[in-house]
Amino acid sequence: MKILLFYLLLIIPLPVYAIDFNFNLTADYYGDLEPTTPYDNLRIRFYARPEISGELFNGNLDYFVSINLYYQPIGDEMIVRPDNILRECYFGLHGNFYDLYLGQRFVNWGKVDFYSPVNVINAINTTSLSLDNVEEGRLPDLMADLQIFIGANASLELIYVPFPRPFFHPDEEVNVTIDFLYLDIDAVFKHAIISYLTEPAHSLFTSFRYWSYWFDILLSYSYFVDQYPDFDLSGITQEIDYSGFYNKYIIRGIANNTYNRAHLLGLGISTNIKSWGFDAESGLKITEDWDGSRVEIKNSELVSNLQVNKTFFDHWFFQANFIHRYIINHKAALQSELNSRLLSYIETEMEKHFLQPVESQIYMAAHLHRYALHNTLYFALNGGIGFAIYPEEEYEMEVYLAPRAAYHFSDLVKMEAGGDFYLQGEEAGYLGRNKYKDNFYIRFILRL
Amino acid sequence: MRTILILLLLFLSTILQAIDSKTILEAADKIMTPPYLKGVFQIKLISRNQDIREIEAEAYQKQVGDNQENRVFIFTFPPSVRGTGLLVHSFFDDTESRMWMYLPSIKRIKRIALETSGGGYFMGSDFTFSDLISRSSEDFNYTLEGEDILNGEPCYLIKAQGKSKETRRSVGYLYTINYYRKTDFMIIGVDYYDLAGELLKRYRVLEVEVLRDYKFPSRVIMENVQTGHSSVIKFTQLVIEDIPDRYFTHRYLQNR
Repeated sequence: MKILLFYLLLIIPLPVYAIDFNFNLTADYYGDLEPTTPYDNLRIRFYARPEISGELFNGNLDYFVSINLYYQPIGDEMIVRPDNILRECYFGLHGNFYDLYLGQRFVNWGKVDFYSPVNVINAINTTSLSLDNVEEGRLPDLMADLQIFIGANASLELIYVPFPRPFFHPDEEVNVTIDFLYLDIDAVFKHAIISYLTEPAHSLFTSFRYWSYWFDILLSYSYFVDQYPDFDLSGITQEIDYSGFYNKYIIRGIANNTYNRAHLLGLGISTNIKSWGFDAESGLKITEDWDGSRVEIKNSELVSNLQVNKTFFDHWFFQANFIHRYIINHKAALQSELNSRLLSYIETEMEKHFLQPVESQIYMAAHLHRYALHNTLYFALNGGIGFAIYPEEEYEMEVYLAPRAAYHFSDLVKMEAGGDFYLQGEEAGYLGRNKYKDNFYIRFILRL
Repeated sequence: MRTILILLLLFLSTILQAIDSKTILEAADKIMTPPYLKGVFQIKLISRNQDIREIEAEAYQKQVGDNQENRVFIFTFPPSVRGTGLLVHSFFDDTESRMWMYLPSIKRIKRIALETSGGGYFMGSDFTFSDLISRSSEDFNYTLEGEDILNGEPCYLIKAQGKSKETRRSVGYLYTINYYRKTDFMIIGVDYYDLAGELLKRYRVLEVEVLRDYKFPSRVIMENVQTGHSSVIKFTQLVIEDIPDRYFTHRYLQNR
């Protein structure tokens, strides 16, 4: 409530000084093309986004406000929540050597376009039906963002997020019931939507950026509340019934989603060699389970991503990403008082949930697009392949294909169409993370 | 004696031509290249069936030292590209240009190759990035081809051709024929020939604005004769005054 009041106080006086007004109106339809289920309407959404921005005091102070207004007659109502109405709302204060932004906003530190290990400031919205939908893909955070400029080519940035927003994931509840000779489990694993984290809270992100003729570089260190959930197992109780022939373990309770802190060391580099573009990132995330002994907390991980792009035959833009994800201490023994069978079950489910089922994962993504008819027609193909490498077994593979097309009827009106197809792999995988799988969509966009 | 005289005249005329082309190029450079310039440009993209789309941007350019020119474009229309910023560092010698683009939809500055944006064409227009950036004159052979009249104005015709195959491929043309107005050496037209030697595009200056000691083409058209598409650029609010260096930084691109 306090946060809403803060935003209202920010918004109310702004229209008086508004000097720029933009408006986006979007209508889209998603249909379910999953081959194993009957055709279904996934979503019809009408979506309006007014934006107001302006300057005061000779440009030394500026502001920006945008809000999302949805009408969604068909579809999951998760995203249509009051806390997702306000998109961005911030002031910017500009001095000779600094910019200071206060309010809710998006920040993107990445060098790569897909699966950035460095760009962790804003949480991901997992209810987005298409992985490349930048309008829906992230959630803005309330923050203080100070940028200090060291000459023309270098800057330091310090971001403080008092109440981080966790990944936006639908409410989910998994019941675990087992009744066996020596095991009686009736437990619930719950994931509930939390709008803003107040306990734990306070995330700090720092970066140094440098731009030069030969390369651009980003170094970052963050001590933050990891927006992807862990679980709190303190609500799970274990008793032993000695009355029978076997000692029977009785497990009861509820495990809720919780959030823990992490350190992140990040490095990003971009350069050009002739007409080739290269971007690379690497991020070492150190969670509260460095030694890998706690089942309820994600392991630490090292993610590296190399992105290469080039335009072929004058018009065909091609980009490929090569990603390696290494889970640290993945094979370490777990330490818990819980029954080993329950622990084994939880470990399997947790690792799937944390997207850490194996020690080493490789993803390759490719993007091809071209514009035609003087940028009025656009078509693209996105593809992704993910390999989960099991040392002593066969690898598992995910495959994702996403064709896209867009046509500009005028400077203001555009139509888009596309589809998201998961040809192989599990819902628990990174590419198949969406609740809904194969789909197609059509979208009209009016921008004023 | 008569033969010798004719040969001498021919020899002298060749020298005069060589001097003339150099003089013309230097004079054109002097009159058309202010050290800094800012303004607003509007591009009308006109298709063969006369559908018109528009692009508007603020533009700033400034020479840095003897060898570098920086340019910044901040797009204001259409709404789909509003807020997009482009920073280009180009050089008068062989040094490759560098370009960064700020994309407001993802809130990030991307370092990109010139060829990466729309297959080299500037925002879907008939101008390529190569047409818009400064290039080293050392990479080209300039020959005076003769004289002609363009839009009623007598002009010198100079053929500019990349010295190497790599340069010709880089600019995308086999050669260009440039029309220099005799009265002031201003370029008022360019014919672009593709790598197969066929006429590809015609550039014509429609209006000229005098700014202090400089003359600037304030309305120009580029017509692709092979596709029937054309682009008209109109510059307004043109001012020659020093532009702060901070305009040509990544900070300005993103936070302006």
